[in-house]
Amino acid sequence: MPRQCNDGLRHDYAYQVADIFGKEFQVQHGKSQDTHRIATDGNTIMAYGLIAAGVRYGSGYPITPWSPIMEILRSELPKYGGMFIQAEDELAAVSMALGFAYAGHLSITGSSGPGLSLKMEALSYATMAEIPLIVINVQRGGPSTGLPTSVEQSDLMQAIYGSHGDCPRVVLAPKNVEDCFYIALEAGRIAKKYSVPVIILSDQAISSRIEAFREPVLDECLTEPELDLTPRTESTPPYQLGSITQHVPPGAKMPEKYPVVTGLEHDEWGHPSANPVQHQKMNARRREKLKMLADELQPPTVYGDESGEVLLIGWGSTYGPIREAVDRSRAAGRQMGQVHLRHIHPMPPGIDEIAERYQHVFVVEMNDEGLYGCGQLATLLRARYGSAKFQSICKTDGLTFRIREILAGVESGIQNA
Amino acid sequence: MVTAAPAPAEEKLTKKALTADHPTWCPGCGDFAVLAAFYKTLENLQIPHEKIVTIAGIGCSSRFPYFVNSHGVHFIHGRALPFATGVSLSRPDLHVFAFGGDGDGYSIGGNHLNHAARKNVNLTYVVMDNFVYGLTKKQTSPTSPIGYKSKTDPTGAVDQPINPMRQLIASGATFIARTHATQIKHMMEVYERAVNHNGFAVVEVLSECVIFFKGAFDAGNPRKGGAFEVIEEKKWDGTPEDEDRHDVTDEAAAYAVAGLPFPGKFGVFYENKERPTKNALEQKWIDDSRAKSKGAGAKELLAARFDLMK
Repeated sequence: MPRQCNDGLRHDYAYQVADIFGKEFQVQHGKSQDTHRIATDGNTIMAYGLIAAGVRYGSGYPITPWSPIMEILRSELPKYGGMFIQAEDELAAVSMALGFAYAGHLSITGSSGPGLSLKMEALSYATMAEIPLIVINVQRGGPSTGLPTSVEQSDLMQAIYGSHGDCPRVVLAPKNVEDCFYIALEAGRIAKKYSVPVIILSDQAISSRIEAFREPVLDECLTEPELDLTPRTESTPPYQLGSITQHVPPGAKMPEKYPVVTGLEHDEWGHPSANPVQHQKMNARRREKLKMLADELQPPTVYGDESGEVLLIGWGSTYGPIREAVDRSRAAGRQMGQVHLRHIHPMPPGIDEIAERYQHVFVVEMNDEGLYGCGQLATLLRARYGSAKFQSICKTDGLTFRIREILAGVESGIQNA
Repeated sequence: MVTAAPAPAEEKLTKKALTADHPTWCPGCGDFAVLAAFYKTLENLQIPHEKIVTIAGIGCSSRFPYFVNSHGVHFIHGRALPFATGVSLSRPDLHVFAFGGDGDGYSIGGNHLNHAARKNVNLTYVVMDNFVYGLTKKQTSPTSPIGYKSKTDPTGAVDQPINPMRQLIASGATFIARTHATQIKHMMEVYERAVNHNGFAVVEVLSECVIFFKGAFDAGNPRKGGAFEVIEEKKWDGTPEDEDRHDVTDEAAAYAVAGLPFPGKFGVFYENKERPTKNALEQKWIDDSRAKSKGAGAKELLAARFDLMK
């Protein structure tokens, strides 16, 4: 295969290798006509997206298919004055990453399914202590050790609800390889602004496939890390109610009182408090941050028909197949639209209004349809809007969606409606 | 971009400035003395106040950061060391202290102890070992002696206790000391050396839980009829008596001292000033990488990488 993926791969997603072998490609020698196009895989561009977001520190533990991000950052970050540390286990990796973050750096950890399970206690701490952290989950087939080299989107609920306690945190998902870069930027922005953990749900398919896309314009997206160690003149408590606060990094002189960053429920200064009123106020404080984020999100854009028979909703790496399914259906005369979520928790507003404009709404995702016939995102949408209109098209064979599988799901869904 | 602090105004670090919440420990708890000796050590060393970071996991002794007015972190059970590693590696300007007990450090966090030691991360770790789980009210701990009756071993503990000193030597800690919470002066001497050590420094303090394991360390306390035997270190003065003194750079000798029957000896078991810290090794890689790329900025480096993807 040529390094520069063939232009014939429309819509910026690659076919599976099995499909490629069945086709004939003509490779032309010479220079690319478009000097602004680059070709790489999802894990690689995610790593550089993190660097562009200002990440200079991180820690991880080897697991497929997450490892390449770790390997790239291990070699690359020293050039940028930072470091990536291979930890002794997943718990140490997330703890070390939190240590970097507490020390005042934008920091990351990551893993795949089983590793994320191990990180869950510390991620609950990140919410409680209000420490910004980017966490990547390159999803693979589960449960347990599952299918390490197959694709699945079955960690969505874990990403949102996987920790103990009421534990609000942000969940994002890139829609294709190119978006791995921009989702990393968005994760960095949100983590810093709201001082929360942000989980990025990539997956095995996006992580390793190569796509060609436009080179990011660095002047527009590069964030330089900052560490403000100037002595503070005001004694601002680390958990001041009624405001979003960022921790004062150690090394910054405080007028008198120094803050404690803690996982115990606490007062505004971080000292333990089991006061019932205090606990509710702090729970609200942590929850409100996600509400504020939701308020700044724009309603999702619709691809295809703005209203009509069928709306397909997706998230993550199913973007390409869903889009092509919409194209084919529309070419065949069906009115169909696509909404693809990048912000999954909190969701952008207005999904209900869009869904209203269609006769049928199907949520297409690579996870099990569950006891009640709904995939994980469909379950969330039903809960969010109290509506049974959100139907599911699910599969868990460890392979990416084929167009015909989506179209068949639509047909049977309409028939069964 | 780092906005550095200007040269700090001369301001004496006092116990008063370091005191925060009144400890929640039970009256008579050994940890009070550990805290008092820690205040004193900081006063003696006059570390800039803002550069002190105290980090702990979960347990009675892990409440430490609430009782010290400094930048502090109360983290989760057993993971204080990897958290502290992140702080230490990325902020060489800070003095990083980790605190905890035997359950936190030797049981749930046991793996991290090995690896922080192996990595030789530059920080000071104080373990308040009371041979019992105190916060959760008397379960067997990894250092509970065989026969100790707890709520989880009502007929007496059966598992062989961990020997933390031997474990630390084997896993590569570069400063390993043992002291007793009733011996304030000795504690301070050992702390001071631990703080000044460049590398992973661990101080094991026998700190009595007066509620759940009363009298556990009387054998090491002269006031209770025990013997507090301090390790005599070699002075390298060529005298015949120096022959018998302990060589702190000798791993095998340290291992032998660590194997003495309870209450054993107190003081510095092992000290290695030669092995480079992880902090230094990572920094060297950063410096070498920066030199190779001639100090190029993020934008140039990323643009060059994108060119390779074209």
